[in-house]
Amino acid sequence: MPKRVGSKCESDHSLPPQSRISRREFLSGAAGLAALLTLPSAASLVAGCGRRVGSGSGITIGLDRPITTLDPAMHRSRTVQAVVRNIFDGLVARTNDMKVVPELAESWEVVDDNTWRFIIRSRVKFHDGSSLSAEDVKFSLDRIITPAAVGGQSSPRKGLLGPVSEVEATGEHEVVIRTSEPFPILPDMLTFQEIVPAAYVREVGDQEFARSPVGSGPFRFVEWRQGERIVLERFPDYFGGCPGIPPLGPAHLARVTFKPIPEVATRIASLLSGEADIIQEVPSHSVRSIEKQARMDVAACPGTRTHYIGLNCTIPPFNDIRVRLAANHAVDLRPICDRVLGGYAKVIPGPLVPEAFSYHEGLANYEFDRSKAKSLLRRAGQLNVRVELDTESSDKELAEALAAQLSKAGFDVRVRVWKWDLLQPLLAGLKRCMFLTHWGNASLDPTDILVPLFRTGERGNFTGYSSKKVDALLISANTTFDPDARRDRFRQVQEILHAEVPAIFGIAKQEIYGVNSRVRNWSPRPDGMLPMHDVSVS
Amino acid sequence: MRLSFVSYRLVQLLPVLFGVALLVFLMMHITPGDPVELMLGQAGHATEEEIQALRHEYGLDRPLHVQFVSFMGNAMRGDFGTSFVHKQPVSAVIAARLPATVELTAFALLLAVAIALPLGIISAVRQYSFVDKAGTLGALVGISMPGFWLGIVLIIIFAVKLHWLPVSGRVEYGVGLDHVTGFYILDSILTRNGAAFWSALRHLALPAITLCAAMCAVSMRMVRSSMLEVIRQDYILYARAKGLPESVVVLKHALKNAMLPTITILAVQTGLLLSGNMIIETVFSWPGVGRLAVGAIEARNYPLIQAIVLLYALVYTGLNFGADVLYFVLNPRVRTR
Repeated sequence: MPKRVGSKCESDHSLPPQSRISRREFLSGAAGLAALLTLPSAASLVAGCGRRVGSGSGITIGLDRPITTLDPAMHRSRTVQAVVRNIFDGLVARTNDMKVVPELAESWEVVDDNTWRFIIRSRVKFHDGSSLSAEDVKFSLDRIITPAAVGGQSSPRKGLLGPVSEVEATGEHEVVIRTSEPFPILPDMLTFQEIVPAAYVREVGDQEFARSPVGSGPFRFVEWRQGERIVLERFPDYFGGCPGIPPLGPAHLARVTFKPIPEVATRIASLLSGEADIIQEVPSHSVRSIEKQARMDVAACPGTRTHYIGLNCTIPPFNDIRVRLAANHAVDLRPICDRVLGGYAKVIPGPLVPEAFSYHEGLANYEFDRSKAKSLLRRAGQLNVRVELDTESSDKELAEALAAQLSKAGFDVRVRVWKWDLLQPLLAGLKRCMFLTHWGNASLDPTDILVPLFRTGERGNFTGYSSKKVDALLISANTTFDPDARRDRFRQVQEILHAEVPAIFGIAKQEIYGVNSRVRNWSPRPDGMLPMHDVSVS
Repeated sequence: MRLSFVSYRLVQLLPVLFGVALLVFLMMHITPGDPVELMLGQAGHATEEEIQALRHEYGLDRPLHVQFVSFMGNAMRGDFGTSFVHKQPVSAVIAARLPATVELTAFALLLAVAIALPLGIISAVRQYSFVDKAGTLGALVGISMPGFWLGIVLIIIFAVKLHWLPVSGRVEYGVGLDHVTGFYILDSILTRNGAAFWSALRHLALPAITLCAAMCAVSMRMVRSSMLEVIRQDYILYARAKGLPESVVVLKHALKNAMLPTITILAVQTGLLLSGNMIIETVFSWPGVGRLAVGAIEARNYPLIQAIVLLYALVYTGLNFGADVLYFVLNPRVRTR
């Protein structure tokens, strides 16, 4: 369950900022400077020195990534979606516990295997005063599924709509969506799409729309200073939001400001100085030092991203299942989660996080047994085999802990840290043998992660794993509407993967945020979205 | 004579710019990395057809030489293509960020000169005095401290602890700054907006101080050593013997000659500020071209990288050209050659 923020009641926010440095503060500052030389990261240091609060009836959010566009069709970034979702609504939305509920759609029905009918809510206004209709829904989805539909460019979000082939406005408030093959997770995947006003986009053009958007969401666009901030203000004529996510009505906050602050130490400093009220992506080693500060809190919830150690099944030594099994017996992820990730992670026995549909409770991680690992390696003739464990700098500590465990169990492991832009093509070309990486599954449907990672030849299949049975089960599960049948097939896939071990599974990290305790009614979400509709400040 | 010197130097710029463009183009394409895969990220599904369609749209499926010729041809007409990530013309993306970088660099440069020049002169005139020793120590510290470290320390002291200065950004929301040139200090002066001027100045302070630290140290040492060399010359002794006031001797006769090597160093250092910007802009979330470049490289955003590097090369070579011209103007010996 997400940790709810705002339970602490400390309300001396009206105190004026202290304008002179006291002797004690000077000494603690000096101690902080000395500590800079010894602490593991600058982020930890920054986290150790702050206090103070935010201001006004607005709220400021420190984002971990830059915002490159405000056009909901032209990005593939979770951070961008977290921002634009406050300007735009979708046909459907997710509650904080990830249930799919109607938003702009009043209801929907499956007409046949390849046809869906959505009834659109009436009396919904865009920020420019125009009414939202089925034509806007068709226009919005057409921009995504039609090649080169956005100013001559194609939407990078097309893949998220799978086999959607045609959208037809069959009435003022009725839309029919057709798919080229059965697509049972259409409502889940529609949570990633937002509805834009067709007339406005046609009038101003796609490029201007991306800079100055108009939506129907709880906040309207005010200002975007590129690389600096995006400012939104309350839309008083908001239709109220999802009935499934009460309370309804306009937003509480007068203003929301999003500031991209990619450097983690600066992001934490922004929180502690009161410039930001919520910050994304707090490293687990900085949690304690934020919590120590008055009026500062840390909020965490299970994430949807699976970290795993991929084992390349196409090249030695991991083309031998005994070596892959040995690697699984060689590691004990629990102490790593506790010590390296500060307990902000969970060990999982497969690629799915426990919150995902059809998660297999019957599977368990391989028993931690070094002698068994060595024995398997000996039988495979690979005892003390030398391998490189590839990773990115963000997971370096995790990889080093894993390498230490593997090295005690008959592997000779060296960690190699890469930038993802360099590592990705090597993994895609199946040129690396062991790698610690991760894959997101924001829809919480297995399709979203099992297909790209383990179906033959898919774009995220860096292990080179190939199984006709798994391929067939995934195709079948993805085109079957019956949830029980889907669950059964996905469980079979999990069992096969567990037995054939193309990877060491796995770690589900939590989403960690730093929050000023003046923020009320906000809790983190597994999908990383930042809906500000119900949030208020004390 | 002068015109031929200037035109000769200008013509020399062209092969340099072409070479830089070619080198960057080759290096970016030789280094592994797929812009489409990086854009799609480590999540979700995308079919091979969709990926190939995007590659085709970005022109990545064309032979390298065709891509380069097309880029250069369009670049010469001022069209640098469309940013893969921003989905906007590259020139518009850079134009939105350039004023922030220019403002920061100019402010850091002014600050560095304002500190380095008087300190360097005093250190030379009063060699081994307290000011000289303190200046030498300060220069050593300034050169030794990495920008990202100094930036974080300044943030902790002045933003987190003292709350005197902001952590990031260029201007507060709500000060009503109208966009005229994109240079916030200048805009606030032009629109006579005192609140915006103060806010922009406060936001500029920490990144500018961090950026100028190393440049200030190098320039100060250069002014000092040049001045020391000059004030021992016979013509300075002669000026003193004529009974000229010491201020005239130092500022008119000595400084003018000591400035020649300093100008070269300043030009080179200003170019280096651009690379320093990448780090400082990241630390302070300064919305400039440096931070844009870092993001572009990570995303293999080829059109944006090429345009930014070309811009940097143009600025760098332009600065050197400017220094050469200034050298030519100030130094009669070069002029008469």
